[in-house]
Amino acid sequence: MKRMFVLGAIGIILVADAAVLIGVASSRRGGADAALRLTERELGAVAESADDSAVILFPRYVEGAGRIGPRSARLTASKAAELGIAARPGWSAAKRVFAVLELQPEAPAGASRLRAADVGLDPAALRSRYPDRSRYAVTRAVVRVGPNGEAWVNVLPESIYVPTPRVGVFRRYPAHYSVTLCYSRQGDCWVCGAEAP
Amino acid sequence: MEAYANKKQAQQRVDRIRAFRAELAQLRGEGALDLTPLQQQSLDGHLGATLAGLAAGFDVDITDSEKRIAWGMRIASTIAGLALCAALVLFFNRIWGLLPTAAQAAFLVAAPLAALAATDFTARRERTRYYTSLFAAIAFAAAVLNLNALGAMFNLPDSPNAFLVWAVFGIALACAYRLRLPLAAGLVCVVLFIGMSIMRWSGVEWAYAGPRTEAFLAGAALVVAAPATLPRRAFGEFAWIYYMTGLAAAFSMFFLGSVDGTLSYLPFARHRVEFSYEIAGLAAAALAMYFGARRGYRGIANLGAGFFALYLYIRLYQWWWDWMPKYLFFLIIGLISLGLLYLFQRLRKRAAQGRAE
Repeated sequence: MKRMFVLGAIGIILVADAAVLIGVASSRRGGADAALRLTERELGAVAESADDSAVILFPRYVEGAGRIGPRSARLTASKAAELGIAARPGWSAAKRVFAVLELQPEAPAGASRLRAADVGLDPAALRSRYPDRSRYAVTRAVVRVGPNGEAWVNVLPESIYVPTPRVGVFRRYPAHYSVTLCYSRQGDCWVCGAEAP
Repeated sequence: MEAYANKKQAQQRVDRIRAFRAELAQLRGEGALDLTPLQQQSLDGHLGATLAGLAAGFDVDITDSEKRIAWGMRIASTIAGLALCAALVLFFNRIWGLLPTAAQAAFLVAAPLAALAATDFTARRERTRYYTSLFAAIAFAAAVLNLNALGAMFNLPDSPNAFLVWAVFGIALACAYRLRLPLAAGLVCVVLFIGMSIMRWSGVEWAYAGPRTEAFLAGAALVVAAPATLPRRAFGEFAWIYYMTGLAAAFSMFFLGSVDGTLSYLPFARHRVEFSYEIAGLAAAALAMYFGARRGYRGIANLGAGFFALYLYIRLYQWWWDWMPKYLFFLIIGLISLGLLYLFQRLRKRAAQGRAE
């Protein structure tokens, strides 16, 4: 009996880890569906500290530029209802969706060029509507409708981990840097390039 | 010697023997009982052998000073467990940006398995389970770190399935080594897994829209009902942990629903939802007190009493604080508390009568 429980404890860890790693490998297999080349205007970097050696990037969006925050774009209540998110007055609701991230070609100096251009439930349909893979990426998001009917999109992930081989760029605390974010067909995102002039 | 299923039963026998010896000495002092030297010798020999057998088999506390030291050991091992869990997480945070991805993943997979191996090693060598509990707590913390850090490394979205993994791991650890803390942690994860899964199936993201009380109440109800379906001989000693964890989760949800009716699926106006939750919370807390007193689960009776008082005082505060003179408010609170004291005394008496019968 005891042996069965110990094996169960070991098994659940191994199965869960295998599921995560196989899921990540499968999502990234075949290369990126889209790649956006962003700069410090769109990605704020929090470099290592005495207690944490990781480098984390926080996306900044056109709406709320200059502010690191999760609300990526406002949304009309009718668009939220189209996605099947209807909150009663006074109640909140939130649902997982997919968002189209757009890297706008033009923006005021120093401001972010990144914005959530559209949202939907089917990533393939969104991709066919926005075929330019160097300008548009389909990613995961949450649409939230607040108690007063206001709706907004939270693009996910809200923070992006920089893998160790690319961390060196940020350890020099550069004023300017560029980061290439890759997106899979499933909407997963990872850092696939980073450089500082 | 009579067979005992666990340390709790063995300790109860030791406590009975100690009380018996004290009463025997009292009776002899009062001249109400006089054993012959032979009877006394035979009784002392039997009780001494019984205590020695129980001490060897279950590591029970025979004297008051042993009990006090055992409490000290429990507190020390809890502090050590918490500190070592924090050390593990902070150590990983300190080094993960320096390791290649494969080494990070290897560390995360190996940490809970290594702590599990240490748990097994100590469990084979000690009867007290202090070190076993400590390593089990570290193993559980490492399992939580494992999925959290993997998710962060690969920028994965949150998933309720992580709580299912931690629930299975915690409960399996608890069942393998007869430990209470991993069981309670695992059951909390069961409640969270069920609640978050129901919310996701209903199209609501809990991290962005807040919890939905009914979803988590379903998980709490399942945990409270679980002991009825489990084999009594194998899991009977842990039934109170299921009840305590499930009831604490349910009371928390009743409380949340009573202060914010928008955290509910119920299709009623907010104030009606809040009122319904207040009544349901008071009723559930009263039932828990009754159940705890009837079944002899002191912790459940206390938990019910605590939440009952909390609901009551919060409601009274909301009703009266703004308009009532403060002295009158506190006078009423005092009188209600006296009423509760009387009620609890009656319950206690009834429980004592039940035991005597």
